[in-house]
Amino acid sequence: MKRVVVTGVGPVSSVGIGRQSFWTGLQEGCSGVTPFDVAGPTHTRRMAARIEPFNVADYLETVKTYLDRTSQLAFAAFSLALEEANLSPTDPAVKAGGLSLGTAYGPLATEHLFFSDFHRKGPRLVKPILFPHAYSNTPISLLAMEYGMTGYHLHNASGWIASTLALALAVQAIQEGHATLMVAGGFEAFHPILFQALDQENRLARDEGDGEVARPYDRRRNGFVAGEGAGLVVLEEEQTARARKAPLLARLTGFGAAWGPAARCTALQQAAGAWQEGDLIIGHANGSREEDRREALAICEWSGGTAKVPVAILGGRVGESFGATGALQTIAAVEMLDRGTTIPLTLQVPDPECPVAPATGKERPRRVLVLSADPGGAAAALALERSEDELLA
Amino acid sequence: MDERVVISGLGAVTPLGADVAETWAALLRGRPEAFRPIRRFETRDMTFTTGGEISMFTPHPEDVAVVGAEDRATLLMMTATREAMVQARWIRREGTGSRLGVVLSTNFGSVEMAEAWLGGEPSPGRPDSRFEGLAFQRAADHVAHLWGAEGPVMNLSLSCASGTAAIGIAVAWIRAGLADAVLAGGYDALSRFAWLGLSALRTMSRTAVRPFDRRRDGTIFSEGSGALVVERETTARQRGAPLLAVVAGYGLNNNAFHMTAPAREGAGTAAVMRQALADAGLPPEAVDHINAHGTGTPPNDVTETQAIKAVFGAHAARIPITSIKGTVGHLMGAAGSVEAIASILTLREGMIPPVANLEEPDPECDLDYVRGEPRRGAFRTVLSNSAGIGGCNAAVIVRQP
Repeated sequence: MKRVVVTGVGPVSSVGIGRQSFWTGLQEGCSGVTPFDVAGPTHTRRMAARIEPFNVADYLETVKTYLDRTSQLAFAAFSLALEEANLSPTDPAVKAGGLSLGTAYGPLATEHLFFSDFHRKGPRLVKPILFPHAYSNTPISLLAMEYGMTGYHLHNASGWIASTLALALAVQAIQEGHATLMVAGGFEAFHPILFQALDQENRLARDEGDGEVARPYDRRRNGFVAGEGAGLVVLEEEQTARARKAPLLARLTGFGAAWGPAARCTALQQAAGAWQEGDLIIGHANGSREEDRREALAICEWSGGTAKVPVAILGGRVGESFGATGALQTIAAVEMLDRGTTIPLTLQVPDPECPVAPATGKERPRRVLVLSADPGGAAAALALERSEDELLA
Repeated sequence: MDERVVISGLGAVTPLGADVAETWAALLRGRPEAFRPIRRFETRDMTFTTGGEISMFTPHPEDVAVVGAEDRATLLMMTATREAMVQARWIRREGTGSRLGVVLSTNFGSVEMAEAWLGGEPSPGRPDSRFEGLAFQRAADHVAHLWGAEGPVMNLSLSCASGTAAIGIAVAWIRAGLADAVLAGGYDALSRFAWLGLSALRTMSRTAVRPFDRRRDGTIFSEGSGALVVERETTARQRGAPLLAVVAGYGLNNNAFHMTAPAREGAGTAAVMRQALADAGLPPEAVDHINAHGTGTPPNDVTETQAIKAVFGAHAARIPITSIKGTVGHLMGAAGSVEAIASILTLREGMIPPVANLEEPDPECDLDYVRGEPRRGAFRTVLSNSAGIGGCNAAVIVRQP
C-alpha cells in the first residue's frame, strides 16, 4: 500500500482565506455571517456566510475575460494550496499531477445568466461564450488548462459530500498508480436562487432574537446558514513528497463512502476501523434539525454506543458550503494534527437527542476523522493522522 | 485487490430502442435511425431542430410515482438500471447491508425540471421543489433507493467523457474494497437548456453525423441512458450472473489545451489510451477493436485518428474501428455507457457495428473504419474512447471473460 500525505492546503471560506486566517477564524469563532434578503414574494431576511471581500485577481496567473464565481473560488484555493506545498505552478510534478474536484450545484450563476437571456429575449440572443462555462466541470477544466495539468482528471457532482468523495478518489488514484500528486477538494459559490430554494424548503436558520443563528447539535437549532467556499488539498505519494522535501502536514490514511440509514457509521468504520483513544471527529453538523441528530447518533454508534469521541464542527462558523464543506473540514483536520490542538465545540443548550462529546479545544488528537453527509442519503468519511512521528523517526 | 472485475448486466434506453437488444439491432443495421425533428420543446428560432429524441419512452410506473413524470433524465437512468439488474440476476433484499454502489454520470442532470428557476421565474409565492433538478446527485439517490444500495453512491460530471469515467470509478470503488458491485451509468435528456447551449457551441450538423467521412460537418446530440453492472467476479458467480466481460483497466485525463477544441495531434486522447493500457497491464498489440469517440466533427475525427496511430503504431492499421454516433448520435452523458455496451456486445457476438454515413472516407482518417456491413470476427480486447467539453478524456478496456 502506498502512503498518501497532505503537503498543502488552500482554504477559501467566510471566516478566512488561506491557512493562517482560516485557522484563526475557526479558533476565534469569528463569523463571516451577514444578512441577506431572499428574493421572491416573501421578502424574508436570512443570514448568509459569504466570502467578502474577495478579489480573484490576487490568485490568478493570467488575466481572465470571464470566470464564474465557482471558478474564482477554486482558482484561489488552488493557488493557496500550491504555495503551501512549496510547489511552483511551473513545476513538472504539478503539470503531471492530477485533479479531483467536487461540487453540489456547480456554476449556477452562469447557467442562470445563459438561460435567462433565452427566457427574456429568445433563442437567437443567448451568449454562446457563456455555455462552456455553465458545465459542472468548468472550474476543473479551467484549472487543468491554466496550470497545464494533463494527468488524472475527475470531477463529481455528488451533493454535499462531493469534496469528501473527491479527496477519497484522489487517494485511490494514487493507490492505483494513476498519479503521484493530486490536487483535490471542492467548491461552491453563493447564488440567490440556491438561497431562495433552500429558504422555501425551510432549511435555513432563523434568528430568534438572540443574535445566534446556526446552532449545531443544540436543542434550539432550526436550520443552517448557507455559505460558500472552496478547499483544495495537495496529496502526494509519501516517498515522492519526502524526496522533494515537501511539508508533511498529515497523512490521509483511510476513506469510506456509503448510502442509506447506516451510511455515516459505515463510512466511519471503512475509513478508520474501530474507535481508538486519541480520535477526534470533525462532524458535518450545521444546525439542521434531523441531520444533526442522525450524525450524533451515528458517531455514538461507531464509538460503541456512548458519546466518547470528541466532536468538533465548522458549522455555525463557516456556514454550510455544500460541495466545499468536506474539503474545509479536511483542512481543519490537517491544521489540528499539524498544530496539535483542536477547536472547542460550545453547546449552549445540549439536546438529549444529539449525544455528542464536545471537543474542549485542549485535545491533542492522534487521528482526526472527517464525516460528511448529504440529505439525500449518501455519506463519506476520511481518516487523517499526524505525520510528525514519522519525521522524528 | 487481485480479483477480476466483471460486467454482469447491461441496460440502455436510446433513440434506437427501448432496451439493449433493440439498440444493438439498429447499430448493426448502421443507418441513421435516431434523428427526427425535436418535438419535446419548441425549436422555433433555434439554429438546429433535428436531434436524437426518444419518441417512445415508457418508464416504469413505480419510478414515475417516486420521481415525478417531469424528471425525464432520472427516469431514463432508472429504466436502464432495471434492465441491467434483471440481467445480472440482482434481487433486492431489504436491510441486508448490500455492498452495492452507484456511480452515475451526466452533463446536465435533471436541469430540465429546474428550467423555471434558471429562467428566473419559479412558481410565485409557493414552494417550488423543482430546484432539486440542479442537484446532480438526485438520480443517483433514486437509483440507490430503487436497488437498496448501501455502498458508495455518487454522480460524476465530466461532460461527454462522463459515461466512460463512471465505469472506471466503479472499478476504483471495487478495487478500494468499498463495494462488491457498482451500478455504473450515464444519462442525459434533451432539454431546452442543453439544446440551446449545444447549438451555441457550433459543433452540430443540420443533416447527419458522418464520422470519419470527408463530408462530415458536425455531430448531433441525442438523449438516452446506459447502465452496466460492474462487480467482483466472485459475487457475479455466486448469483449465477452472466460474465459478459472483464473490465481490464481505465484512464482519465485532460488535454489542458482548450475548452472546446481537441488538443493538437490528439495528445490527450493518446495519453488516456496509454493510461488505460498501463492500468490494464496490456501492450497496445493486445487491442483488437476500438470503439472510437468519433463524433463527426471535423477536428475530432482527425485528431482521434492521429492519437490511435501514435499509441498503436503499425498495429493501428490492423485494428477495426467503429463509431456508433452516426447511428445513435452523441448521447452526451450516456455516450460512454452505451459505447461500452456496444463494445461488450462486440466481444459477445463477434460483430462490429459499421459506421453509419461513412461513404467518402477522409484521407486523413485512413484507418480501418468499418463500413457497410458489420465486421465479423473473434475479438478479445476492446478499447472504448470518450472525450468532452473542457478537454476531458476517458478510456476503458473490456476483454473476453
